[in-house]
Amino acid sequence: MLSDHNSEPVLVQIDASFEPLIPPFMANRNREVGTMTEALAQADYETVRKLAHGIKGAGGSYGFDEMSAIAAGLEQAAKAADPAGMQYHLRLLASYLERVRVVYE
Amino acid sequence: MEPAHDQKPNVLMVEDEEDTASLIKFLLERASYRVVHAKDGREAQSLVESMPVPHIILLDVMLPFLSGLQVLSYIRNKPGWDKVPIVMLTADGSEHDIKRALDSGANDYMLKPFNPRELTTRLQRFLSRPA
Repeated sequence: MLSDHNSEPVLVQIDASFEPLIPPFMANRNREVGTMTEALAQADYETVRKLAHGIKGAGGSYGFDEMSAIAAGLEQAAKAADPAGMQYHLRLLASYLERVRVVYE
Repeated sequence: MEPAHDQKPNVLMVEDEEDTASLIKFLLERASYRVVHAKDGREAQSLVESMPVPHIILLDVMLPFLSGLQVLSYIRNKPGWDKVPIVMLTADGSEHDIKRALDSGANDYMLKPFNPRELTTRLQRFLSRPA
């Protein structure tokens, strides 16, 4: 189930050997939220779809399952040319990125 | 041309998403593979023309310039590359695309997100088989 908008941290356990890969991974996701927000404002839904598709595939592979689930919803909204749906999922994704805390195991 | 036999198996990885590619490269190099990375379909096509035949290919379905299915067809028509095991990577998982890939000569597929532990196990199966 996707987390609602709140300020609760989201704790995610990640394989400790992935630690060097996580800062660039997070930097790319934060940058992409900005890119997709701009793309949505310009009705460039294809850019939103492509980036959401990439996040869907990458997130869960690292262990961020909820990130993949949000990105899947965003990709579907982009495919359906549904700006309200894209805006909703972009807000969810931005909130998730602010709240996620990685615990290396 | 037969795959070059040295200690490390060569993998051609065709993947456009930067962090997915970084993770796969990390996992495979840790498991003693040598990874050659193509970032899009055009680069993959160019590598097929210039590099030695790899032991295995990981091929994303959705790629810039040329789709994974187009690259797959190109590889299967390239002399010497027709028997290289190809594992498709797809974040869509639609039965139609998977069936098309398998019908076009792919040996297996993995859905993204993937389980990191499963990746090397899946590849190892093909490397253990006689050519």
